[in-house]
Amino acid sequence: MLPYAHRLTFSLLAITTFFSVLPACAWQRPSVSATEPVNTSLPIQTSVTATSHPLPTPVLPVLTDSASMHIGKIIPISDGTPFGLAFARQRLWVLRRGTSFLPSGSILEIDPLRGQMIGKPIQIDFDPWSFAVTEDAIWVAKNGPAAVVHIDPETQQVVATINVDASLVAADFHGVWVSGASENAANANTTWRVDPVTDQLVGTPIPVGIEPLQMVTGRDSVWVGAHSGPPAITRIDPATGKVVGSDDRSGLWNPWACCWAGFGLGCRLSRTESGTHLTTNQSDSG
Amino acid sequence: MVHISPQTNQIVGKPIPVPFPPYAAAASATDAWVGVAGISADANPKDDRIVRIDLRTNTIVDTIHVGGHTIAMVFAEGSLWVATVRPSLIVQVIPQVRTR
Repeated sequence: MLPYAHRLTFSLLAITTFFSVLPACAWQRPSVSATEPVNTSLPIQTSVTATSHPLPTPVLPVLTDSASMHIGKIIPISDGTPFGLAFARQRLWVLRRGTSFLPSGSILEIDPLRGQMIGKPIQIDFDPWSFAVTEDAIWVAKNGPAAVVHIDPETQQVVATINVDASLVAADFHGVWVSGASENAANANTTWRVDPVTDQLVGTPIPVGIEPLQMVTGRDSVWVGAHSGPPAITRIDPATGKVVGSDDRSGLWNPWACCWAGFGLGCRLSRTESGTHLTTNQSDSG
Repeated sequence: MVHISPQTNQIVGKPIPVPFPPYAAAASATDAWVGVAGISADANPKDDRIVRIDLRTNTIVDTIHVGGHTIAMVFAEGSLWVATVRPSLIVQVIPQVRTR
């Protein structure tokens, strides 16, 4: 189960991060391009005891522009690891996983113009794996069985918890899409659509490759990349819930990261082979 | 990195070699970006690069350092936002606009 394997990996990463970042900060100089640190800590203590020590002010790395790219704001994230990003509602949203071993996470809302956090973090009482933000909802998938949580961004309150074994979540005009890899779950290696109004699963599970690892929406399609395939990539028509494309070279490559742009889908592969392609089950009018 | 056409479901051109174990990716209408994987065993712990890929030519055209290993990226409203680990940062990268 890759998400669980990742969980271990990231736990180790968290340990490494904790012990490596602090000494590294000692030699790092403040950057003139840095923004004010985002206060991402939990509610501020109202009293300070004699044994308390002020937290060190984050020291930011000095980053330089390249020939065609300019470094803008640099925002340190404390009390956790930024694990996902989304842009919606004219805001940048950050999914933060805890660096402690407590199964908690949070979502940060950042004003992209000022590079500063808006309000307090939205606290989540589980370890999050992925999230999606729309104009009126935040969807968070849990790392491990088994829930997807619907949060109202205005009230920061949980609206609903959908009991589906899914660690990936994406959203588009047609609804919310969830996918999971838990081998013991009834919906392992499938994708479901969630009605964002009723918070109910819709239709039947859509089969995808083994161990779904990436899911993006775009071009009126849902694209699911699977770590172990087959298939490595599945394309779903969100209107019908039907699979309309899948790769036929499973085992030769697997997608670790996918992104969507106006022109097509980009995927980072761990193994590649020239000529790898997707096959379609129906014509694509696009 | 591969570019898949939604019209044909085919990979466009050849896979684009990336000079490090990549993880996160993002794209605009003209460019794609990919960064060093923070969780890969073969990643250089001091490598904090992301590369810019010109989608007209499917070639890497620039590299920038973002201070940590990339864990997530999103492109929106002219900026690339990069989440890194070791250290935990959000870094805004503003690419020069290139017309398609």
